[in-house]
Amino acid sequence: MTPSAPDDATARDADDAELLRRHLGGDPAAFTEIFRRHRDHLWAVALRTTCNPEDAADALQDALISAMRHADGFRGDARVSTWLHRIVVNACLDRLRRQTAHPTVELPDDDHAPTVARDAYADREVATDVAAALAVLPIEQRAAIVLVDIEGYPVSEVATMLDVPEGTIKSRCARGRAKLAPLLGHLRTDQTGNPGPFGGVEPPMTQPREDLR
Amino acid sequence: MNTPHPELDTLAELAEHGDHIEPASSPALANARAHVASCPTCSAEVAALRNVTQTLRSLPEIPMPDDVAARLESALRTATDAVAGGASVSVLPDRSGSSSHFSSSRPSGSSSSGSGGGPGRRVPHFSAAAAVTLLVIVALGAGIGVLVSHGGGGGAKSASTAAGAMATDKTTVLTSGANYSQSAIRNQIAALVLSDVPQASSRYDGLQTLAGAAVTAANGSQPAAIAQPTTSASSTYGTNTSATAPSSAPSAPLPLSTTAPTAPGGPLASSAALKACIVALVQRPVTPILVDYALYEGRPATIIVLPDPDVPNVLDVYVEDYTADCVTKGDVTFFGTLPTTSP
Repeated sequence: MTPSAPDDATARDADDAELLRRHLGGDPAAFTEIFRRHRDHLWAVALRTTCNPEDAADALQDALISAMRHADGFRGDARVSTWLHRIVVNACLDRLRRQTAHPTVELPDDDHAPTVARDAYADREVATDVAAALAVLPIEQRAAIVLVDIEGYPVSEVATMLDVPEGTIKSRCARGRAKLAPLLGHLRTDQTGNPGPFGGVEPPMTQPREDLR
Repeated sequence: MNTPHPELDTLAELAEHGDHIEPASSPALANARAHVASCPTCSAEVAALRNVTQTLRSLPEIPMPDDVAARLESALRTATDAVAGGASVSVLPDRSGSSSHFSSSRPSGSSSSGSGGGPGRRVPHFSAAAAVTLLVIVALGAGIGVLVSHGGGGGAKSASTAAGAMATDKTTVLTSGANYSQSAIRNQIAALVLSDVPQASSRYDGLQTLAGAAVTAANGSQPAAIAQPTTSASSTYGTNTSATAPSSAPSAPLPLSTTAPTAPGGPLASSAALKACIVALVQRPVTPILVDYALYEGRPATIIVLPDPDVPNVLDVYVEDYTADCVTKGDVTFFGTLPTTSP
């Protein structure tokens, strides 16, 4: 936790829900204190979901400002941290979807400045094999894996966060894990060398992929 | 082992809960578990899936870098301060009293941002005969820090820097498919810059309020203005098939393009032409930070975002006839300014 101003001391002692109430009541330090409490978790989620520190920071900023401005929409039927995670993950997904929908293109006759590479995470920021492996997953699968397998949220909560059925989350996790298995296989302690019935990748789909819409 | 391999979801379920499955409560899973127990292939797959979850659950925390934390706290403070005042926007020309959908002169000194344009800079003027595609140029105000300029035109950029213009390091070139509308172009451009220009949230924080719809994290939606043609444009121009230029009435229907550009096109499709256009418009070379070949009011358009050479922390918005190259033909038909810092 970063050092905070003296007038933050009282806010620091309150729980998240109380801090949110104080924020809604006009306490300018309250929301910042909530952010400080959860910032590392939120950062990890954003970074692992976007696979790009710049996008993670931008998405996190969008999410925090949105959460701050719409705090009155928090119903109190979930933990504040869960509410924040939901907003952050959706901000990340929004950003990734927009980038997918608006790919950059090259200009001809180009003595122009270079266009921006969108998927350069592996070149810029890959720090671990897991991060690299996560980057290859479809974004919805990645988000589900990050929330369920890394952050440890129950499937039911993640389903609520992402506004999809529990079965969809289970399926996304299963398919994501299947894709990760060969990429993380060298980290096994019980390697068998057997590729498995799916060769470590997804089996052919017999139904539309609602999770890759 | 005569049973077929279980589905992947089933194997994943077994990997996660296989040791705790009661046959009575889940006969299918129990059967699958029996299959896996006698199938080396499925057993290996379950082990691999279990290894994945174990690996992921044992990952260490990733501390937020201090500079990111400082930036975000600053953004929260700025957002708090901005709630009361909001970001002021000045977009020229003022069409409320215009006799043409686009034509207007740039009122001298009327911009609330103080962007009066440099000496010799062109003012908006609509050329009806050439109105097929429009160029929208957005100039971002200077004063956002010294950025390293790389890419072509080193000599020109040196002159720009000497003249006080702020060069940016990269240009993001898009074919977003957006349909910029007269009523929403300010928000659309702010949202586009924030979503597609790297580090825009920190460099141009003042656009956050203006973007508005871009901040949709809470409900998971994305800005319609960027994702697809705007409702207003569709409702106003959707049924019109006229091939003529806009009439003098602000609500006159415009020819509707069937599709947005999917690749850079028109006289300004090349970087050299863009650079020449910008020099013609602002009287000095300025590197754009974003170019978007899209639609404006249903017609093919190009959006260019570049640092304003004269005024810090301000977006200048120009609209140029497509058939013009800004040098030998055409003139500015739309101009406006947007602040890039919070009030």
